[in-house]
Amino acid sequence: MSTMDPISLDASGIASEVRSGAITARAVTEAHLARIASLNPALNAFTDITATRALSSADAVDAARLAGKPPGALAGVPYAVKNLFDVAGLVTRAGSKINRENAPAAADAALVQRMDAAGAVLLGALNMGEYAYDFTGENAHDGPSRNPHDPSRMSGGSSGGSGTATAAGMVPLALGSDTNGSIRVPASLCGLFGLKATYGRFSRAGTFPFVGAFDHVGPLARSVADLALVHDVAAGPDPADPVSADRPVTPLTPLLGTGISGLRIATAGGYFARGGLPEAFAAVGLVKEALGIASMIEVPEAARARAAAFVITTSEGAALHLHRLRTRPQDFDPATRDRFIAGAMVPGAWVIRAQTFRRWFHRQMLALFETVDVIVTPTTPCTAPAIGQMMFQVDGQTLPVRPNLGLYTQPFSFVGLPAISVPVRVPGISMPIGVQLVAAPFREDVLVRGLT
Amino acid sequence: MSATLDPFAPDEALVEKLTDLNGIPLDPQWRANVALQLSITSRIAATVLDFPLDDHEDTGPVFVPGKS
Repeated sequence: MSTMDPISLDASGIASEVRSGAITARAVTEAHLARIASLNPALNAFTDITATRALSSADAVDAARLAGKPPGALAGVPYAVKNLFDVAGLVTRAGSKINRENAPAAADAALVQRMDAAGAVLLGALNMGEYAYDFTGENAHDGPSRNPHDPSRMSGGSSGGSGTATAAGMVPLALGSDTNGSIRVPASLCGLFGLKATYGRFSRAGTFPFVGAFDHVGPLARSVADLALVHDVAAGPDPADPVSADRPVTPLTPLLGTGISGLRIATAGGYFARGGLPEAFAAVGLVKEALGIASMIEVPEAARARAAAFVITTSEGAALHLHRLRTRPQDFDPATRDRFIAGAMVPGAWVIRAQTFRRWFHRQMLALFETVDVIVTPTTPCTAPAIGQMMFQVDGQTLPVRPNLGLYTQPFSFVGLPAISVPVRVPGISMPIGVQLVAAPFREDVLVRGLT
Repeated sequence: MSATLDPFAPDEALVEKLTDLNGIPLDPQWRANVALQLSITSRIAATVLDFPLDDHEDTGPVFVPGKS
């Protein structure tokens, strides 16, 4: 038996070692459960730990291998899910106080089923901003998920626990959701890779919604190979999700590191070159240099795209929660409650107009992708702010932290474009920050070719 | 500029009316922040409403009869 430390491996490495018999799934699971027990009290990533289920799943993987059966592409890989994913036997709280009064989920979410079918081992459910209306990872009911690089700082949200758990090595990868940036923002702040695939690429069945028009789910991980692995195992059509894309999946794993020869890659100017701190643009500069990017494009009306996403989000979110706002507004997190209440007051014509603009903007983006394959932007305008920090200084202006963390992610999820946040270390800056790569619909393949 | 000349100024009286219309019981302590949030939303929405769109521009998402 190997003496390797499974905590140091990524998911691909763990699966490989488990398949070869170098280490058992049980040993991997026990090591990660011990790490959670040690780190979670200080970092607050997990809201539920499913140790019994995990050890049972791990034993099943080991038994399959010993019986000569294929143990799966994710054999023995521990993972956890944002607590808006249904996990059989757990209450799907979605970061809220109210929903934890619901009955436990009767079945796993579609993605959990697909992960487990590939041999992955679920360790539990993760903290998140209430009802996913959040970019900070803070939560009035469960406390903030903390950034492992500096626990006084935000994890980013709303998939905050997903960022914390993965960056702290409690799991090699986690699933989150991204409506306006909620996978990419914590990936950036916690120094992780985060994949928000094309709208409809991953099934949302069995997850608690926020804004159906923009909701995506997907992985955060410490390597791009792990994002590809989850994509290849879990993406694809699902009749249980009404917006699921009915088209085959192009596996990403074989494309990793195949090179960017022939790809047209450009940084984005204008909107994406302002509104952030110097480290955000320094990170883009490092990627630009590494990939030899010479061209710059303008995303037309990006500010309006973000504005339209904001309007649709607040209105559709308020519509989802209207009955709870009417009956028990005092039970919401104050940080989401007042925005949901205001969202209920938005005139319908404004929302329809924003949806019509979405159509227009989508057409402009498709035209732009006739001339470029990958667009490079900062993921967030800053590294992780302090927990509780309300304002930050940009370009001589004092701006609110919360909405601005999604400044660069929101315009792309607005029209469902695939995007990856790639972690970058800027010399002289203590915290990590992400760079966002964006492609045309269903072109996740071009996002991973330059990454290893 | 007085508040009445700024269409986006936080308006707590408006918030009172609209929470009543929506049937949402409003704790007076929340009123000022809800008014601020509505004001921010109005200002942001204005940039979308100002944008000229063709009358024939389609409005997504598409409803597909027969697909559940």
